Amino acid sequence: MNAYIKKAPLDFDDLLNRCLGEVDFARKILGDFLETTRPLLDEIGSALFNSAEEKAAFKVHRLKGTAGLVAANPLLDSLIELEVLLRRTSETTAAQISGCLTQSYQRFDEVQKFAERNLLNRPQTEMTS
Amino acid sequence: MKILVVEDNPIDALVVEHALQVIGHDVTVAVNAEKAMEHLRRYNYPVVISDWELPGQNGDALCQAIRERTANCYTYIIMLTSRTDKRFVIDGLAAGADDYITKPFEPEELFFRIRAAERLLSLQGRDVLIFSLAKLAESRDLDTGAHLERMREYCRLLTTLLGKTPHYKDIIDADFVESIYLTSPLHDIGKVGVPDSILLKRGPLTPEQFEIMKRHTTIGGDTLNTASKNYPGHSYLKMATEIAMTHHEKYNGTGYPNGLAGTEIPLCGRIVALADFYDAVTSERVYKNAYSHARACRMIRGETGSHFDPEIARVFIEHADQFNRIRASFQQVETAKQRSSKPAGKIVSPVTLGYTARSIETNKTL
Repeated sequence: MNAYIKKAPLDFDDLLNRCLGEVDFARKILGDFLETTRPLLDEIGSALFNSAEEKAAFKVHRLKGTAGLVAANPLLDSLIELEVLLRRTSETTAAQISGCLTQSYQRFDEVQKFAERNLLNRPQTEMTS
Repeated sequence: MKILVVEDNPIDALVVEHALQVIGHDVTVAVNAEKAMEHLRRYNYPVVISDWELPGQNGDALCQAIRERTANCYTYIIMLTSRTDKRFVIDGLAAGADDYITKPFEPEELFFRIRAAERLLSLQGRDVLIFSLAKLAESRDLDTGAHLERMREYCRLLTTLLGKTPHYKDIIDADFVESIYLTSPLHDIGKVGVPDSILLKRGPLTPEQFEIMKRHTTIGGDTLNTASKNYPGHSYLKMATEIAMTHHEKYNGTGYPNGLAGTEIPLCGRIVALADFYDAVTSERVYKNAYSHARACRMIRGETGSHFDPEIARVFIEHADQFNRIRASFQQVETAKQRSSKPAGKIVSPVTLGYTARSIETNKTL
């Protein structure tokens, strides 16, 4: 867990690289991610509530891909863990899954705060310097 | 290049689309396998980049569907997956994917993978173009059927077998085998320069006409040589030149156009000479029935050292049953085609090649 604390919630340089250095495009991608992730986490929670682990795992997998793409690395680590738990339901407890989902929410919150504080409302020159 | 991206996640799709558009590709996004197949029915996409996990059919099923359809062009498939488990990679490749990229992808990696796809697709284009040119040159002669297809198979087999002999093991490598398979169909491309009155003439040619007919070797050779000089990096053009120029030379120096003898004749020319002869002899023409495989072998034995390189003829005779199997498999396909097609009037083509009849009866080949 300590390793996670040391990681920034988001590696914007990495995202910028994937967007070929286009700051506006990177901002748009980040904005879309922030807008769609919470509802997706809610859908995962809802699927788990209805014991639809397979469906939940699919959604986690999908979100994991996007978290990696925007370089939200601590969130990505949580989602990797959650997917593993969901694909091995016979070996895991509901409490483990629930704990991991809660952690994913927390890490997403950190991404959101980090992005709003450092990236989304700042002029382009500051972000690229 | 038109690229189809199959990705249900709009953010992921947008980033891939953006990266590809920046380097000039024309990108279409499909959100699932079903939509992807709809696009593929309507347009030709040389490259498909598909996510592994899709709603409904997964990426591997999409791969299989793409491979099972009938298409004129090859579709290069790259799987995009956040699964790093080797099992998934193997399953994807087994389903027909050509390559895979793990998420999160780096744009540079994507660009290099696309470049690899372009290289492969351009090779395919080259091979298709070469064979099309050869078929076009042959199209005036209605009598030869699948001659080019059979002949290149014979050439490949004969070259592979020769490459296992002590004498040729250091001379013939995989590239040589592939090049002869690719270029042997061009052996008669110079016939485009022979007038119809001679190429399509029924009956024997006069000595003057025969001289003109013989020019197909130099016409083809000179044309390909020009291309070879302009593109010196393309070694297959050099081989194509040699084949066109020398496939009628004879081992004892009595062939044409230059009367080369023995190893003055390039190896590829000596190989194609035998393969071309075997196919001509064992094929039906309007002026003769197909001779049996056994009879063809007797003729090749009889011409060993005169027409044919003794070592090449020896290897052919030693493995003659394998050539016979290729011949028989083509014959089966041809018979099945004839059965399935409606009865039609037999195409009576004029005596054109004259190769077999004349080579058999007068030892003079065209």
